[in-house]
Amino acid sequence: MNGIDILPSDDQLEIVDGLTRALADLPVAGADVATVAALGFVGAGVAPEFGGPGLSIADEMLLNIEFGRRLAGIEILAGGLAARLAAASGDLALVADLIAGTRTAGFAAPMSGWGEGDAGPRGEVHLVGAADVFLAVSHKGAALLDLGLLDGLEPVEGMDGGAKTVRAKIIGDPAWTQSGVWPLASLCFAAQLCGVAMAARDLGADYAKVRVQFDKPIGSFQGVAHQLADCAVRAEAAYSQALFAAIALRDGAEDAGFQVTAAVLTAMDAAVRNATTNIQVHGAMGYSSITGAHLYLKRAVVLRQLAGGPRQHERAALAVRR
Amino acid sequence: MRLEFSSAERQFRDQVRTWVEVNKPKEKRPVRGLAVREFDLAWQKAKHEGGFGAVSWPRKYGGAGLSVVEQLIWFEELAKADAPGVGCLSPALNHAGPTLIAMASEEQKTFHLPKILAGEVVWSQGFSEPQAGSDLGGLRLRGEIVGDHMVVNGQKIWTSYAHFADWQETLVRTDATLGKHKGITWTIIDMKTPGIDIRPLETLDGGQHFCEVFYDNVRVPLANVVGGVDQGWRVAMTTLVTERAAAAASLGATVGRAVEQLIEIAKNRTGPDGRTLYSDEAIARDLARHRVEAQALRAMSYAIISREAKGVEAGPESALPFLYFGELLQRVRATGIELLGGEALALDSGLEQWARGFLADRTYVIAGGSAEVRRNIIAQSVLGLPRSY
Repeated sequence: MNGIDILPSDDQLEIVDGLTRALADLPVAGADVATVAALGFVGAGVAPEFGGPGLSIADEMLLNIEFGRRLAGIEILAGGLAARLAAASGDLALVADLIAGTRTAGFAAPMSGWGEGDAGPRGEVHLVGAADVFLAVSHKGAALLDLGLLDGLEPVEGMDGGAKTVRAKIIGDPAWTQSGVWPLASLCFAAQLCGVAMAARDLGADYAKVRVQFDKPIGSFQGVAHQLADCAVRAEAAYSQALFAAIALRDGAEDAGFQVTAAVLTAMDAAVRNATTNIQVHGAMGYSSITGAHLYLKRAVVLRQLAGGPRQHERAALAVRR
Repeated sequence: MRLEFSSAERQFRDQVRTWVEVNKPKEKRPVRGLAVREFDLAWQKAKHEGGFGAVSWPRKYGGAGLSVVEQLIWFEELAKADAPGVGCLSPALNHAGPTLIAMASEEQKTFHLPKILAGEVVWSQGFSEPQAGSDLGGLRLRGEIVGDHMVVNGQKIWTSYAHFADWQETLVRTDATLGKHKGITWTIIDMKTPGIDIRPLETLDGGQHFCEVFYDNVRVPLANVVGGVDQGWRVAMTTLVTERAAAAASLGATVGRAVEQLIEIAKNRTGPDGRTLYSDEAIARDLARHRVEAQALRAMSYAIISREAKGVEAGPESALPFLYFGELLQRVRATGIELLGGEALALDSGLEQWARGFLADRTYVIAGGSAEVRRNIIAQSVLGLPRSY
């Protein structure tokens, strides 16, 4: 059926609702890969012939908005993407383990880009996530690094306290696989960033309704209210563009690459700025670790970096012919 | 979630594209004087004859009765072809006309709507006053009912195109005892009525559409009142509150087109260091962000169109893309003036659109709800924050 309706269908909303209900009682950042795997939502987009539920790219995007909103374990997204790569390379045992949560994946992020050339991932990395395998993914391709390809592991105090972070060096000669994981990964990062932006907007607005100073809720001061209105605008832009990009990527649209890039950049901006505003609106409460407002900014920074950072997406956005 | 035009819609797009290419005005829109009126009316006549006189109006009233998706296609194709907008006919086509359709008597509709459609008349909007801008409910233009007439005294301001308008939609204070938003009457005023004095004001870009209008015992037949005496606030709000989906699409398409033009300019002009402006990293970054944000705006308007196409009533979230548009346009304009270099010093060069437009487009964060008022609305109605003013 054709037509213009970029919004989620009732069926799609039901899938997302199912996840939301199942995670409803968990605290912020409480949804870990084991819980979500038990619910069948790790690798939800993996095709049935590889043992996955075979949800569409658009469904997967919507689920990732929810994961982002809840600051769910980073291993959930890494597992889904790693399962795609494992399926492409025929490692069905790994696919099954990742979906079941018996083996987990994290991300390997380079210190300053993957460098020139197509030699494969090299050099020093941060490993993000408590995992058995780590996904290196960029516009050059994707690679799964097991512990045999990593050396000098040294735990660090991570930016995102919810994600275990380890400094390491890649050894051996892993190669990039051209698997189509990068556009999907980018879309999912955009979706998670969008979820962070929405959550930060809502937390900021909720606090501004109840925190009273000068005998009024602080949300009745325009200096506060207008910053939150801007959060609403940024979240709406990120959400609409994520929907648009998901459809383009799912349907193989000619400009899918640009649409995904636009989704990534819009969501990066929304997540970082909304999370910052949320901290600001919370004042000293936001500066302390009590409210958890800081968690959203930290997750936004981590996701932004895992997605390759804004500069390469900006270059890509301008380079494409429109 | 789907984004696929039907074969009928694709056919419609081809039809529109061809029509616009053949029929769009060949000469540039004049900047000032009566020539503006003639230009805008001629373009409206052409559209009317082509069956596109008022794309969002229902067929019953002579409109094209297009679906929201067809309206989207229409505005996207106009933008792609760099065709001019409705210009001084905006009050008639986008506001007075739809208000008449929603609230006027059949007699009023039959008299006015065909003239608007055929490009025969210009309307102005007499809403703002010196003491009633963002706070429109503070308006004071006095209307006293005497027999079958209303006698109007006082002043309006910022009334665009009043100096060559035939008609005005006017908000009049007919009862000062009822409270701010009560006791207001929405009426049609014939601009040739004795007692009307119009004084044009120049706008910051050298435009001459702004006017002050003074009313000295202006006799308006009560037959011109729409929606009943003292019921004017409700009448005005029928079309002020809902910012329509197609309008959002139009803005998205327009700013998207402007960004692509800007990218072309950057490729073809050199900066002070001899490189093309496009190779300048700071400018490249701005251009990339404008392009992405223009696309995000397009996505936001598609989201609104999706809701409207499903018959979901426009909610407060339809205010979001308008604020986004206004502010994005200011950033695009700021980049534009930077790219002009020395050309920025002349308003009437070949790059006029970018020099004059830099000034003129400030209107999009002021008129029809300033950026601050829009933020208030979003904070209150989208986020549920307490009233902040």
